[in-house]
Amino acid sequence: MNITDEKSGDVVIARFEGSLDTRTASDAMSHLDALVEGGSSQIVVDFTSTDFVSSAGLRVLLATAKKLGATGWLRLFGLNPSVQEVFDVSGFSTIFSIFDDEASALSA
Amino acid sequence: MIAVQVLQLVPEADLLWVMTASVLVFLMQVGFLALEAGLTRSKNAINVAIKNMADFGISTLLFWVFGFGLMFGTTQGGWFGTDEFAVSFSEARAWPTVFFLFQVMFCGTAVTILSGAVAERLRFGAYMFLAVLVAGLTYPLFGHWAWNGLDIGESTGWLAQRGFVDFAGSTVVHSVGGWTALAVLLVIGARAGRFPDDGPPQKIVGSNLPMATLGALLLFVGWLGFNGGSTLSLGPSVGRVLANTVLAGSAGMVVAMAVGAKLVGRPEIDHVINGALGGLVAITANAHAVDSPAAFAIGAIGGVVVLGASHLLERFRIDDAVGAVPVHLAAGIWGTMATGIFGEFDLLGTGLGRMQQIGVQALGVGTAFVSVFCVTLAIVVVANRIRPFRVPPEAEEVGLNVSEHGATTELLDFFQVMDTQTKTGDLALRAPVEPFTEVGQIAARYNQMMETLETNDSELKEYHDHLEEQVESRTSDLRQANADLSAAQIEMAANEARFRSLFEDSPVSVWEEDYSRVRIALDEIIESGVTDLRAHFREHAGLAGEVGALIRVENINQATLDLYGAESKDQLLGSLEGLLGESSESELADQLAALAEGQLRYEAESVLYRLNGETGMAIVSVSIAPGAQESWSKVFVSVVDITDRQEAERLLGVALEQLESTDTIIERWTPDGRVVEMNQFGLDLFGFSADEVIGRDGSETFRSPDGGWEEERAALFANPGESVESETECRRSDGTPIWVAWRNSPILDEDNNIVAVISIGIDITERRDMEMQVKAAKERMEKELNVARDIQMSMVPLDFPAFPDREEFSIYAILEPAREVGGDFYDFFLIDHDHLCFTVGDVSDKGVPAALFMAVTKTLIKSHAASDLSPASIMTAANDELCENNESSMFVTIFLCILDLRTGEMVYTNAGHNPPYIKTSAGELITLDQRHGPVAGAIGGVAYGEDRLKLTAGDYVVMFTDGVTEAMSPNRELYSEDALETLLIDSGLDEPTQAVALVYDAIVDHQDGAEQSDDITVLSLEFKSSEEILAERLVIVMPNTLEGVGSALQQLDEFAGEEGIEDKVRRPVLLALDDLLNNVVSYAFPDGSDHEIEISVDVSAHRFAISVSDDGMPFNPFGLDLPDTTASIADRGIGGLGIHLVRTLMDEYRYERRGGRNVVTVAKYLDSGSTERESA
Repeated sequence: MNITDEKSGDVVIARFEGSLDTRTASDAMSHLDALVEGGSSQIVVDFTSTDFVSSAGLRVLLATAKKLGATGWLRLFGLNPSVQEVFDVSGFSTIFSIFDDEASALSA
Repeated sequence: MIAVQVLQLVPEADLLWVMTASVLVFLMQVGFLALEAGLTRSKNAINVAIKNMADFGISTLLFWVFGFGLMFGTTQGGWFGTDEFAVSFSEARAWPTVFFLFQVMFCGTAVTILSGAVAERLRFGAYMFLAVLVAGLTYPLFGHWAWNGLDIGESTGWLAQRGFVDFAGSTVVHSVGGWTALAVLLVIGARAGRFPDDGPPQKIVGSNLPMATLGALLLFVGWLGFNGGSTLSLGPSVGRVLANTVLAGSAGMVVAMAVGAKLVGRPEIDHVINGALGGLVAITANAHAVDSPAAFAIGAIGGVVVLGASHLLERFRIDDAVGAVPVHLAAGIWGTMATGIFGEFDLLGTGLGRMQQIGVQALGVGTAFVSVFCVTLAIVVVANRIRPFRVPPEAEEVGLNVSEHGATTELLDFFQVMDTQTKTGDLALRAPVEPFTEVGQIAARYNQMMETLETNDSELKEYHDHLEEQVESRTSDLRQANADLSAAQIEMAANEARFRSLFEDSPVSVWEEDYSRVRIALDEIIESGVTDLRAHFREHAGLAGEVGALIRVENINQATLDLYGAESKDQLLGSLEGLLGESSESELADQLAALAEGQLRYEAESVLYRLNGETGMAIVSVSIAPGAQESWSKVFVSVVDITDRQEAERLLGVALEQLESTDTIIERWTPDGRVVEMNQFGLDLFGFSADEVIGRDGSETFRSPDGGWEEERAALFANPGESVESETECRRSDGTPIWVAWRNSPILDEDNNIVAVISIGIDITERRDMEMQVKAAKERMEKELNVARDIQMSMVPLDFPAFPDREEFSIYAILEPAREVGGDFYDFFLIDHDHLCFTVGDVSDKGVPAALFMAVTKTLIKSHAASDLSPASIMTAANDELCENNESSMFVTIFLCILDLRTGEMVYTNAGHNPPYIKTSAGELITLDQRHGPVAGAIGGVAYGEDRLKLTAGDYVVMFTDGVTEAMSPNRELYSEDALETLLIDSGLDEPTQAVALVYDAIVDHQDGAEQSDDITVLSLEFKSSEEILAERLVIVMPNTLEGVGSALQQLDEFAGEEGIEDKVRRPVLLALDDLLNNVVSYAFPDGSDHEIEISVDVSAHRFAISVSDDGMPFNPFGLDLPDTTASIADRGIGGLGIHLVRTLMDEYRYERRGGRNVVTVAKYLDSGSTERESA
């Protein structure tokens, strides 16, 4: 998995490429941890190029969301139908803010 | 303190005695195990047993490390010991060693008392925690206060110093165990169903009361060591202690049994057991210090105390599974107090007065309450918050054997019940229904059947008895009726003869006369306007004589000749002229007027004019003959000479008597239906008077208009001369119906015309009622048979099409039961996605037992097939289990197949069943006539063989039972194998339903209306795909590491790409593999050792499936609770989420434990997209 960050004002956009699963979860975790520890409190994750997300991946997102707590936020966009289904089935779509595209994620 | 003791020499006999006593006390552990296991339900028996064993190990180790020191180490102010922890034993320390041995057994006893009370719902872990608490803290601490210094003959504990005496531990051991049990019981609550909200407490009966009793007796034996050894020396006091112990135990037993019997009306086993134990507990504190009468009293009261305490517990809804609290706590308190009450001062040796002693005993009891009960309660309440002590309700329902120890006995239990049922025929037994298992479902079904059977059975029995009674009484009734009938026939024949001989042989003078001309003359007179004939005759003297002269005498009998003094008949035949005298004119006038008014019978006294001129008196009776009422062409006149009146009356009496009969209706009636005569019995029976009946049509009085009377009459006249027998419904004067069996005999004239009918009838109302009841009862029995048949049919799959979404095969079967419930069955089910198991069988017997055997067979096959793909091995195992407990020597023939739906390979085994046929797509008929072993259920230990064969598309398998080949035509010819083979060869098969119908119709034709004698079962399967639809298969072997997971995902992803699997299938399957592997890698190998995980990937036209197999510890991931998917971020845990995703996203998922490996298979269905893939 490849993650590239992009700054948009105070917001960091992390673009995930590949799949977020057992293989890649720890890399993704340390990447997001580094962003949070580096002071980023507003993170948008771009899933446009993410193939699938397993429960290991959900764990990473949940941990990050918990770390950001009430002071910051984590937004997601570009979920393919398979990933969207995983979010729906797991109930994560009700606890994460999910957007159709980058523009709406940033402007919300 | 013990160091000092080393120097003292203890006699070897004492050492030997205390060691022996130790062994006896150890035996109590066995006793407790048997007692508690016997008093609890079998689903928890293993748990109870394990607890009793494990607590001994735990308490021994803890007591050695810690408890012994705390209890018997050098005291700190009488409160706790300070040395002797984890003591090491040596020859030099012989006494302390033996003393330890004895004490450690006591500690084990104190701990194990608890286990029975809390049985059937306490977690095993919680019990181990409690064992640690008792053995490590509460028992040794309290023991220190009462017993410290015991080993060197001193009393250094603070309680003992105040004079508290507890010889062998009524309080120290038993009450401590009892207080602990009570505290835990208050926290964990009653067992499910013990105290229903809406009803009285329910007794939960133990599984094995003889074993419980054995346990109680073992305890009794062990108690001899418990109390006897507490002397700590083999002195003269030992005998008294042992005798008192036996006495008190027996007193408790007998008194509790007697009082209990008085209260509940019968001696109950738990009263006997717990009464004995109560007596033993009570004497424990004082066996050394009381005399025999006191020992008896202490034991007897101990037994009563147990009963009272049991009652109190129930009242407060505290559920003590075995009565440990009443026995050990209540009787323990009593025994401790009894020491103060009955103890002999010199033997107690405390120097206290009676009241002081009682007071200090009470102090001991109170101390135990505070230091054990209160402390334990506080600890348990807190610990219970952290982790509940009680198992979840489902676990309690299933039983702790299964939930706590993974033991499963439900099949065994089920068989035990069925076995007992077979042996005893007791339909009230019910199989244990363990939920969520197939055996449980079968058991539930079995119970349902038994329920129906039991209800019906008692009704049936009643009906049966009733029927037998009816049949018996009906038989005797019929016999009686027959006897009556033949008597009546004889009588009737006599009557007929009488009527015939009346003429010739009658002692009475009889005349046969023709009045037709008289009739015409009278008609003319009446037509001329005369209304009062009598007055007319008076006015016209001589007219009556003129008319009378028209009478023609046709015939006379011998008595007439004698009466009138005639030589020959000719003298009297023809006209009456010569026989009339001066009074005849008025007599004739009277007679003719009466007949003209419609009377059929006229009787009067008249003067008798003999031929020689003498006169006398006679009764002349004139009757118009039946059939001659209009024409008067035949009239009978009888003349009885009453000149000698007495003789005349006698003769009349004889005539009447002949017509009377005590229990038969005798009726004479005319062809137009009018009753001429009926005997008194008939009149009484119908409740009419003679006036009401005689001269009127029978249908106006006793004959019901639609009671079959008309048909009877028609039959009679259709065949003149023949008697007609019939049963018709008649009625009494009050309208109530009465059934009569008639024999109607016609009386004919010379031209064979019926002139009268004599009917002889018997009242058959009662018999008729019984016949109706018998008929109704027969209908009921028929219905019961139907119920049993419905149950048989409910055990075979009946929903067709059976697998509508499977294109590889199609299957159909019928089972047409014979009139009685037979033992045929068939079954088919998918073992997994790729294997179909199908079978046909026939149990050797008929009726309900055969149906039960069939149910068991079918269940066995199905349960074995779940984890076994070899028909031979399934049959071998099923046969062995059928042979066990097969008291009734039934057996079953079975043909069993497993078909690999991917390849068409069919593996089969035949246990003595009719060989099935395969009709190939090429039209060839193959007989599967290999035999692989004997019929199942007959001989155990047989290894069955199997054969295999490959089906190609369009091949049909046709399986059947001998009800097909042995179907019988009306002239008892069998249908035969040859006929079936010819039928299958000659006919085209194009559907399993059609194939089955073809065979069945042929049998019905063959039977041609004959009754079906055996169950008929036909099963047909068509195999549809011959090409290997398994397109691709990939096997990945990986190490149990995260790197391995990565590599496996990579390989699967590439494979899916090559196969062109579309994203919406590929992504969820990748996700599923990731989560499944993650689970295995993280949890399957707790010791961190290296293992290989095998993944096999199958892609067929419709399905993308992966199987993950590992040799880690058994674990079913789909048995986990679902996560809460509605929680917020902060509350949200991640546990179980992966499995939840797999379950939701996959179309198939299942777990199996196969060959020591966990095998998890998941699959996602390919839809329209896959067709594109194939065409591409």
